[in-house]
Amino acid sequence: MNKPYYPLLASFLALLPACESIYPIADGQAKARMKTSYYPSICEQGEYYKLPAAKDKQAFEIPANSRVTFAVILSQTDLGGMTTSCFPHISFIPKSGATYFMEAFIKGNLCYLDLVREDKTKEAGVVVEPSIGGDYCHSR
Amino acid sequence: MTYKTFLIASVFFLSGCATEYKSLGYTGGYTEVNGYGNLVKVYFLVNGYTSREKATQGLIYRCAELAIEKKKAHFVLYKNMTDAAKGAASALPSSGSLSENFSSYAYVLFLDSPREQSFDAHKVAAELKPIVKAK
Repeated sequence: MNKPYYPLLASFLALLPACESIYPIADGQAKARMKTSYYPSICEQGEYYKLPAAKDKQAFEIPANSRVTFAVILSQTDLGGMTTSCFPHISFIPKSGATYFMEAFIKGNLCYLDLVREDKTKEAGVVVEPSIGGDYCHSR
Repeated sequence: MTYKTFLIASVFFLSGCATEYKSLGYTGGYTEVNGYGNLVKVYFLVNGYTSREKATQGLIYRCAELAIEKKKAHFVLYKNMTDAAKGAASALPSSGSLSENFSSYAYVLFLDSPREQSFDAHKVAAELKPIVKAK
């Protein structure tokens, strides 16, 4: 795709979450928490959903104990005016009751999702969380 | 986090003068976000009138200030949370750019005693203060 289309693509992608409904987590369903400065989407059965906020508004609630796929919209324009836009996906199996931190960044025109799990017994308070990439939701 | 994210984004659109060393405002500056385990994410944002080197120096100086405030003598920088979880410290922060603006950021862990790749907070503060606070 030609680079001049990237800002347009980024604008389009940025509008997508507004169209998503909030992911329904049933009372009594196993869940975990995700803290992030982004607004990630969750993919479930071929549809993207916004994540529901936790009751304390300090995190999002996510379903636990089965593999889930998350996606984040990223866009960055460098000093030369070239815009890099992407929609990276990540999947992992959240543990019930755990808290995860997820951030995203662009480096060298590649997009990264940075995911760790809170572990208060560790010096940094976080441990590596095993994850793999996730498929685009609508391609399933 | 959302408010700070908005403020950081606004720096990229509102600029005119070179960034001074101060808390985040319309021309840039530093800010930090707590809540990543025991890590603090520290940012220093500069506009197009300010060098990238100034962003890096401002960020490391801000980390030293925070360490001293927290009565910690040392600190280590991590480029991302995964590196922090692995204990893979870095001598330099991460960086990013948007249009003519530039940001430097790192996840910081404050320490009582030195270790490999750690910074001495008082030494950093003494060395960088005349540089980052120069008009």
